[in-house]
Amino acid sequence: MKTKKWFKTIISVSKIVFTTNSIWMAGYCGAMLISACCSAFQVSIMNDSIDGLMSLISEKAAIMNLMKPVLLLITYFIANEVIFSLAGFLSIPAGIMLENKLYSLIHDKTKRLNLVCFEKRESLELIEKAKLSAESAINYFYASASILFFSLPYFVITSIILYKARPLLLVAIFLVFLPQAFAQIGRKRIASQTIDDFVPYLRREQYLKKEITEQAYLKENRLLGIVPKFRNMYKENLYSHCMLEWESKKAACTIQILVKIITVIGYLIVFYISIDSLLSNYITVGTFAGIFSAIYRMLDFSEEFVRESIGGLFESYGTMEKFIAFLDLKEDSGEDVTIDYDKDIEVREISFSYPEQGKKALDSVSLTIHPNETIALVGKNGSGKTTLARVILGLLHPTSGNVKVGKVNLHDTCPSKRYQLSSAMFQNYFCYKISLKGNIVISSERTSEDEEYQKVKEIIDIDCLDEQILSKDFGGIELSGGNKQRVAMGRAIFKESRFIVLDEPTAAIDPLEENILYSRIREIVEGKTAVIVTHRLGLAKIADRIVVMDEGRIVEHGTHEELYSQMGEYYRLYNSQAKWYFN
Amino acid sequence: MSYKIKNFCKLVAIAYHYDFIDAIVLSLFSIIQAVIPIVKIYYYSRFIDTVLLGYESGNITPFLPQIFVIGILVGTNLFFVELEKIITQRMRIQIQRSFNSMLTNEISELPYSEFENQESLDLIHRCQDKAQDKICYSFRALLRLVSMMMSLAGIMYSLSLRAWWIVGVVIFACVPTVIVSERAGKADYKVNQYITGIKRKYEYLSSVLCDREYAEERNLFQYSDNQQQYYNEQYCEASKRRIGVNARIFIKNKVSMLCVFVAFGFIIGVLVMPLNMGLITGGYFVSIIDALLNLNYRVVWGLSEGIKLLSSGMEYVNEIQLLQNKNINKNKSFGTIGKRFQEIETIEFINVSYMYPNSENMVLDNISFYLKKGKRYAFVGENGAGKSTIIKLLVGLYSNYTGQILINGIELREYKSDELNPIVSVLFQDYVQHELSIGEMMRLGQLDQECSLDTELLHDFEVDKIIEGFSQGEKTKLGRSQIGGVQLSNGQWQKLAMVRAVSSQASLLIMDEPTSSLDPSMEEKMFNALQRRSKSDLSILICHRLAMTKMVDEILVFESGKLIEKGTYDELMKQQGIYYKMFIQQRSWYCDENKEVV
Repeated sequence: MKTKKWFKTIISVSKIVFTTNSIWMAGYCGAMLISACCSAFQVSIMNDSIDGLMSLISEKAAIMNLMKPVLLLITYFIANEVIFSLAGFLSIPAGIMLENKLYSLIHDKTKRLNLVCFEKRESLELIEKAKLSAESAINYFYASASILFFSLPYFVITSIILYKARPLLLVAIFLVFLPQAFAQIGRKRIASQTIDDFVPYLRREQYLKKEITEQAYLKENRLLGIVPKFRNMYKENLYSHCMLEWESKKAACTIQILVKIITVIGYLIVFYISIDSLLSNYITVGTFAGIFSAIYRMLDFSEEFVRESIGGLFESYGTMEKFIAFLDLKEDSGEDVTIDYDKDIEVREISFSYPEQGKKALDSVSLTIHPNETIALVGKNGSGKTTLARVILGLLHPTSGNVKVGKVNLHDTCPSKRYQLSSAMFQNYFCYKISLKGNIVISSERTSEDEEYQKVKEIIDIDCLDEQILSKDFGGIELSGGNKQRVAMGRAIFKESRFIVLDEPTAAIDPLEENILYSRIREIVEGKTAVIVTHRLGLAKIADRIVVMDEGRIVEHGTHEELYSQMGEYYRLYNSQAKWYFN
Repeated sequence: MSYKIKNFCKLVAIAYHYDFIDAIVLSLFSIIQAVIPIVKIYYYSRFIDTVLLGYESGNITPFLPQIFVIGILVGTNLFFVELEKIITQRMRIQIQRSFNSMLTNEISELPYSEFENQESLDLIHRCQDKAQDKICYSFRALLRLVSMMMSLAGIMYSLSLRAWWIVGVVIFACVPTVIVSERAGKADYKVNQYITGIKRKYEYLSSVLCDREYAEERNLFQYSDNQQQYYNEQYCEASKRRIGVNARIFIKNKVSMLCVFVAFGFIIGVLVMPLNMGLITGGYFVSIIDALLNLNYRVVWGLSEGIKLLSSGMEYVNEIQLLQNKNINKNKSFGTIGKRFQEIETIEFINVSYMYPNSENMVLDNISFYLKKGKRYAFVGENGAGKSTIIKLLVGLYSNYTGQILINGIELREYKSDELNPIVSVLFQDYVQHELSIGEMMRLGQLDQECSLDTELLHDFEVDKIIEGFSQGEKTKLGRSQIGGVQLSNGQWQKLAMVRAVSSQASLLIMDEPTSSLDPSMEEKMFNALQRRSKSDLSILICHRLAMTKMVDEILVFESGKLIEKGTYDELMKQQGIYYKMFIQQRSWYCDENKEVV
């Protein structure tokens, strides 16, 4: 069973890696193949030239004749070297191309994941690890390519040459090669175990590093005088991480040393056999020298290649497994049906709980939203407003119950159709670290040439050039919280939509602006079905209907007047806010 | 040149300083490895001669001791290679441990403005990126070069006993390789420097395409395909550069390599003569060829790789130096908890103006005001009016302002940060979500880490509820970076941060938008908490919800970097200025029930 899974992983990764359509990669493999043949013929070249030399010397030939084998030898070495380092050079672009492909693959996969994957620890870890594991897939490529296109052909050809000279010499190949290969199995076990041990330390380390080297953190930490505290924590964490790494390296190295001892013994045996062959006239002095340097070189190869490649292969296996698991994550998919927001949105008995959290975030909520109606969702922190909005948008799939728009079950449609006519502004507003223009047009297929763009700019009213980069990280400016929120709003309204969700749209916006924005929000939601999530009840009043939530349930709903006269939860919330404005 | 020598020495110094033992052991190894090839030539030549002599006799027994010696030689060589690898690994880990923490310390002490400067950010990124590899591998490259030089010298010596001119040829042939490799290393590093900028861009795009933070918008707006295109553009730009420089290096390398080969070929060719004349034995000839080929392999690969690594390592050391130079005026006491030596009495801004570097806009334009202890102040005004910048100036993040900021009558710039920091407690708008335990998070900045917190405060902000919700109570670990850490919502984080800020002993409390992700009902509770704090404290509140400002002693209204109104709530309402306008507008949203409200 385990072997089967192993096999499957290898096959899947190979499929991805070797189907990359790139001249560089083909060139790399080709160069390695030629280089392998070149290296393998060293034995016969050495044989020819040295024997030639020897016989010429014994015949006391002219100097010019002697130069011929020497030239042959030199030319051979130059050619060998050039092709070998050509392969080395080509490995760089090949790796670059492959990396691009793998990253694109990861991006593409992430695109298809449902939001809930980012809430689940297990899948989130896979997503977070995906890029790390892409690196192992690259290592895997180098490893398997050097086995397939270098080591294997090289050993096969050398074997044939040796076999022809004397079958017994074949033992050499096995004595030098096999112990190395076996050693890697041990290394694999160590490697896959340590990866799991490292990750928590690594994650903590990255976080602690941020605390002491990044701007937003340092600003606060310096004032609090806690930089040394975090430095120490970082140091301790780093220490344990390093100790762990050293332990695993030590184990791997011990195996390696044992293997070395076996290899040296093997080398001696080969040595013995070849001298014996020389003395019993199986081979000439030239072949002897050839074998001699070939075996030394083979040791080098089994060092550099077998170890790096097979070892790399096994070492990367653990993370590759995660890569495949990542690619196997369930994708969000559905039927290709258009959603018609001119129909009622019917929320039926939906419940939702976030993975690994016992409490229900939504507890059988039912609600009907009519076309062009504006609904305000109000309630305390953690009452489930945002979750409900996310479910109605289709971002989260309810654990039970369903959301229907007209006759269509929203969550059964494919993502591209599901979100085609809806838009939203989320609570954790932010700017992308790109230009202002980019920040706005990112939400839609429309471009900045569209007249809608100017309209949006007018509504959000930011005094800033289109091309201005919105981050100091990339040589731009840092907007204030309020302006960031406006950019996020601009993004939400730039997208063509019939249904829009605004989650806390004015949290960071100053009072004067807020007032203007309230009226603008009215404009925005006009002719659209809208849900506004807010705890500012002033804003809630612009809605046609207000839904009050508490503990994942709808506790009240109705118009402002109705709810106010009910003297319930809404009345209480409203007064607690309003009283500050009236004495 | 002296600059190179300096970097070179620094690299060696770093290696020895951060991991003395391993550095010494590696140095010894490199000497051993230098000697082995020389000894090998001697034994090989004797061995091959005996083999050639005994070739006809067909008897293997006399060679057995020699086979044994050769075996030991090859064995020790292989063994040392292996040991060297292990020690290198250990050194890498050691360096990672000690050097990296030195580096992060260094970065954590940089002046704040460096973190807002693109070039410095790139530099920081480069310095941190795989620091242990850069140091360790370039040090090893250095040792290998030394060992190679030594064995080259040894072989040369043994050759020169028979033909002195060979030495000249070999040295001459190596010159192009040395020059080309040295340049290659530099070019490689320079391109990497250039690429860092692009790389950070595409890495950012990649995080947009993958990270949790962007998941909602990514799904809803379905922008992945478009962003992927930008990603590809940036990626291709960077990879074109990388491939380009490597191709150039490759070609130059191979040309210089030809020189070495021709020279070696020449040597072998010339050696045929003395062999022919019987001046050298066949065994010596074969073993010289073997040694030269091996050496050639090491020269061509080792020399070029080694020099490349070494010179990029030296570039790296240079950058470390640059980073450290930025810290030259560093205030060693950054971020330490000092004694609470005094309380804030007064804060005075006199004609303060400020402009961000590389920007023409005046963020603060000639601002003057006076705050004194025992009072609560509110800063209000539109976004970008300069409120947050005032806070940043006040806590000493920027020092290049014009005008004067006096704290207790003394210019702010004359304070050391450890004098000032303990008396200020700030809750920034972008407060940090410290992934510690709940208890630790709330007690950050307190001298006593065990102190008990105000239970009323915990109750008011419903923090007691949060704590009760977890079986480990205050010891519950926060955040994804810890094993078993829990995830909190933004609102919950803000509550913890607020408790932290409010319960601090500091006599100046500054809060920037402290309730942005909380229920409005929290605002009132926050006020109660402020009231409970020591009467002699000074607090500054930045907020957009004007209802909150009613309770403070004085309100300062800012507009485009200027202070435009100042006074108590009643005064400002009477003035009917901007504040009045804003207040009325906010009230209008609650207006029609005016009569019904108590």
